[in-house]
Amino acid sequence: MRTLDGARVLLLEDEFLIALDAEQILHELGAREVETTSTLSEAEERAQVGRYDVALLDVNVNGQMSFGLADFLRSRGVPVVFATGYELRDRALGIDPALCVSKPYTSERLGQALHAALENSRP
Amino acid sequence: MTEKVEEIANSPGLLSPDRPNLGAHPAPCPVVGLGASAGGLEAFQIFLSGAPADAGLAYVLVQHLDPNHESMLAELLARRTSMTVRQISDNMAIEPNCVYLIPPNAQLTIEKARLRLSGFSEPRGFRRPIDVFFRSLAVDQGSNAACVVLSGTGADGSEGLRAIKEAGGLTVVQEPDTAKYDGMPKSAVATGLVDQILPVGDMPAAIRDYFERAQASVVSLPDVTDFLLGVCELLRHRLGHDFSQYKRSTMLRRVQRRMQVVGASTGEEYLDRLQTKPDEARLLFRDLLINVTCFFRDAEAFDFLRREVIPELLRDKGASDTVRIWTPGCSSGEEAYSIAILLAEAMSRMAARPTVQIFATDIDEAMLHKARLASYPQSAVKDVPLELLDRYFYAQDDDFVLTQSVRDMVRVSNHNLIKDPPFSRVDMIVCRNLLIYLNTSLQQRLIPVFHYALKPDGWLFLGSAENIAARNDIFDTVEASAKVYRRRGVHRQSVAMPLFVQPLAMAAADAAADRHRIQSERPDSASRRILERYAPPHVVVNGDNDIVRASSRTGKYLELAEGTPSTRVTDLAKRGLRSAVRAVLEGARTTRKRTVKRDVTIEVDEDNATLVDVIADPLNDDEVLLVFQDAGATPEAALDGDVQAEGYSQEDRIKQLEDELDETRSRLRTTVEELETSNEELKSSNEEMMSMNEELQSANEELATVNEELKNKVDQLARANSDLQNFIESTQVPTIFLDRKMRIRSFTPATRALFRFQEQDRGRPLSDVVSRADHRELEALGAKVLETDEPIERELLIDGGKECYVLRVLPYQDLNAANDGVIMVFADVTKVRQAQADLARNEDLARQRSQEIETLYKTAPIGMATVDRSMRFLRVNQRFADVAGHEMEALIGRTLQDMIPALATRMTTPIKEVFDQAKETVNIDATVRMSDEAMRDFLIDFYPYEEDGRTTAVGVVLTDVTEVRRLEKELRRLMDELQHRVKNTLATVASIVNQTVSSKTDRGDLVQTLKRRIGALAATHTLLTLRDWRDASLRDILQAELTPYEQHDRIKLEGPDVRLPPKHALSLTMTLHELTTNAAKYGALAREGGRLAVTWTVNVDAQGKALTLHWIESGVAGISPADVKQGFGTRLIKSAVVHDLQGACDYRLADGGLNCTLSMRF
Repeated sequence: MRTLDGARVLLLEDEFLIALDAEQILHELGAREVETTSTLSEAEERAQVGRYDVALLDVNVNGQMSFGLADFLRSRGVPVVFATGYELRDRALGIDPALCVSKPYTSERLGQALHAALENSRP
Repeated sequence: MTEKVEEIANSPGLLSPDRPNLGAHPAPCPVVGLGASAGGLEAFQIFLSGAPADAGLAYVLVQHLDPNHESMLAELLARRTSMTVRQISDNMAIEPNCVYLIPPNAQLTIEKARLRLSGFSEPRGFRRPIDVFFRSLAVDQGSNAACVVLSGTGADGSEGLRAIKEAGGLTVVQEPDTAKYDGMPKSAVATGLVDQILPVGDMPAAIRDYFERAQASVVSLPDVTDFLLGVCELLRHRLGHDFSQYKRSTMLRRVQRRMQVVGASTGEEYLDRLQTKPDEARLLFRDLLINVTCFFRDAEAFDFLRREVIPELLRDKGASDTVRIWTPGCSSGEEAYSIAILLAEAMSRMAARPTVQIFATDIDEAMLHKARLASYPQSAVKDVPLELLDRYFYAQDDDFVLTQSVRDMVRVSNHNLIKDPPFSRVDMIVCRNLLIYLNTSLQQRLIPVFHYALKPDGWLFLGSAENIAARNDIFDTVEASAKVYRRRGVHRQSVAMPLFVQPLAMAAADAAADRHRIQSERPDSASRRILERYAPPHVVVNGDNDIVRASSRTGKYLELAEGTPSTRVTDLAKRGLRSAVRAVLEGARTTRKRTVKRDVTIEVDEDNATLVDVIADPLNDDEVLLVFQDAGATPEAALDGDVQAEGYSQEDRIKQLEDELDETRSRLRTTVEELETSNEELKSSNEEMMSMNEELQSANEELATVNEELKNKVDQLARANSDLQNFIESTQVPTIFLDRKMRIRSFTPATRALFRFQEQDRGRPLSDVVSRADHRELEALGAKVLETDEPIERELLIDGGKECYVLRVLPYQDLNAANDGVIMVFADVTKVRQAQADLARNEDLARQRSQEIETLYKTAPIGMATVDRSMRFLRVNQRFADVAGHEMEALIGRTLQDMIPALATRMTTPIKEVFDQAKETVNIDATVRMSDEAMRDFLIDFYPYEEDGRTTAVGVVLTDVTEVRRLEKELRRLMDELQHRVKNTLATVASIVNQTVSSKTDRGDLVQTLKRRIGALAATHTLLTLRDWRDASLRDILQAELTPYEQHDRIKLEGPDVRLPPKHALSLTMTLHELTTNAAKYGALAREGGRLAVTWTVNVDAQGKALTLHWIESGVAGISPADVKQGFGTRLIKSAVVHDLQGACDYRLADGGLNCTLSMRF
């Protein structure tokens, strides 16, 4: 399944090893390019300037929430998938579970979430 | 024609002295006196058993009682009757249908219908309580009374019965055959005054009937006059007594009473009874004779006396004269004194008053005693005119006593009219209601005696039913209705005296002879001449034998003796005559008969002697006529009577024999006299014996009475004793009876719980008995009670308190309420005391609990309060006050709204609900902004507070859960954090696995590598966990990684202590692990002589702290960069710090080995 066939992906993950794994999965899913950021400010900068087909955002980045960035990205037409360790809390926050993957995630699960996100963003 | 008795009784002038006597103060009902002695209890019981309780009679029981013994008679008799039985106390009033009992040792009388008690006036043995009471009953109640004489010995009651009868009351006597002791009944019957003799059982009805008939007091009689005439006719026919002169009213009343007794309701019926029953005439006759002697009885007769006789008596009498009056059968003296009063009255108008001597004689000493006292009850003087009463009586107590002037006129003496010689030369004889008791022949003999006693023209005054026995020859009738007669024959010659004087005993022999003699007695002057000239010489001597009178021609027989002249005949008589004179005088005096001594030889002179008859003839008083007559010359005519034959034998032989006989007679007389003397002595001894016998009898009666009572009482005592014994045996209360010396008197079986009592312990000291209680204490308590007479209560502990008794010690009182020991009563209160102790313990426990609860309430970290319906605080605890921000006291009574407005809004509604529904409401959440602006969270519970099933208040429990809530949030945050960390760690591990798997082909190597990488991560996790995930020491991380490779001091670690945050620690751990792995594979730690130095520094500047770490390998020659594979490890070393920590990594190969510098901020 090559969901991300040729897509540019913005990845926000503060853990190096997890980010490394995510890059690999995203590539396996067909991503052409994965822009990996480890801090919220870095990701925001990239989001301002870069063009992305989809974004995979860790919800809690060094204690900071990535919801603002997600809103910004969506406003720029970039579908967002959250990666999180806080399923219960996040569900309570009203995040669509379909657009959310729970760490540690598999490529299959991430693929479904990304697909859903991309489907949602299409007019 | 029908007349009523009452009318007759009230007719004036006819009946006034003889009105039915109801007594001065009639009781409200008839009073029945019952007298009994030995055997009386039984008789009383039978009587009361049969006595109707509503007969309207009062019964007064007089019993001979032991004066020293409490009588139980009342007790014993009360069971036999429904009437009230009272023991008499002084002044007790008589009431109908009551039984009154004489108390012991008291004399009972009745006065004015009240029962009076007094001491006995006679010594024991002479007391006659029944007589005393009956007599007073007769006086006080008259015909309103009845008396009953019951069983008993002796004669008590008979005299009283006579009084009752005389007063018009009913007399009843128990049939002697039916009496246990017949002495009293027999004696009573012997009086001849008993109305009815009955068995005791028949008495109550008979008495009731009698009084019922009396109450129907108006009994119709067809014609009173005819009826009474009929009665008189029958009496005369039957008995020869004529009562037609008897007072009609008296007669009618007596007849009427007799009719009541026999139950005759009409005159015909009674006349019939008189005709058919001979006894009835006798009984009526006897009743008619019953008289109460009283002053001026028969007022009309006395009036006649006053008008016609007394003036005559006193006529021509001067101060030197004496008026002699004789009243034989004077009884208690009323008539004698009546006459005396009449005389005194008459004499009061006289200038010179004669001496008056009234001889009042009778044979009854008791009556004479009364007469001497001259003191009379009111009833006796009721007919005395008031002015006379004033003048001649004075009052003493309730009686009337005659004045001395009247008493001085009266001489009271004992004299038997029948046997004793009469008084002589009296002016008047008053003999009333005596003859009537005597039979005709005796009456006929007495009338001449009266004639003899009276002076010529002397007066005779007889009773209304008496007469002179047809002796009109010697008495003239002066006034028939008044029964006043006058002696016939004006002259009375003293010479006739010896001839006339006849011993009365002889007179009793032949009345006809008397008549002849009396007729022949006609003294005149001729006889006086005869006396002087022809009568034999004689002298009259007095009691001392002094010659008081002498005839002529006595010189032949008398001569003056030598010595002092004497007039004594025994001294004057000539020698030879003296002894004869003495003998005949003595004979005449002792025999009161003429005595003759015949053919006494006296010397006329020296040669001649002559024979003479000496005759002593007793005259009146002690005077004796002494006659001297020459032998053979005694004229026959001079000697009459029984000695006439003497001396009239002409033959000497006979004369001689007669003389001898005379001598013998004289001797015999002396002997007889001696015998009589001893007989007299015997008689007097006998009398003494009799009186002793009476005493003994009366004592015996008392004893018999006491014995009967005692027998009864003993039975009762035995029963009571048996009850008591059963009680003692059965009672469960241990009780000991002790005497004054603490010796055991008795005990109940229940005492064996405490004492080892045996039956033989009675009488032994208490201390001798084995006891579980302390003897000394018991005895001390007993002694104290004896001393103080007050009960004591004490608690006794037995066996060291295992058992507990309450001991009550009480004084033991004997029948006289004297203290005679103690009673100890033990009450086992062990269980009670245990229960009390348990109760006390439970109370303590409850109090303790209550205190604990109270303390808890005060100090509990939850607020508690109670609130009433008006939302006011009733009570709050400290915590609640703290929450409210007020002092506890400030809250009480204030409303929730005032004091805690913020909470009040959340509490008001639930409180109202609890009040309404009486159900608790719990766990109400409330988050409230407090007065200090802080937000607080509370949990509030509401409970109904119920009292008697009604909700009176609501309890509020306020728990501050603010802190709990905060901790909950914190916990939730921690959980989130943990999840985040775990998930990241897992993701990291997953990544390690992925990267390692994709870079390794050798499976064994893969597993080793994975193990080591994950192990390094785990080691740092351990370090972080030890520090609560705050930080980890850099040196610890390095040592954990490098220690396995240390040998020969080839590893050097140098730098300050620095603590790294978790992210830094973990990132650096992975980096250092890859560096170490590489060094161990290819670098300094893989070769001999290789060395590793890890040094670090920390710089602090404005931005924070910066760590610089140098990893320097040396001694590894010949390593080219080509040898360093560009695998996952190297990529991690170069990138991790940069990516994760925004740090830097300088990684290069130098000559001696790898140099790597890592820098980062933290």
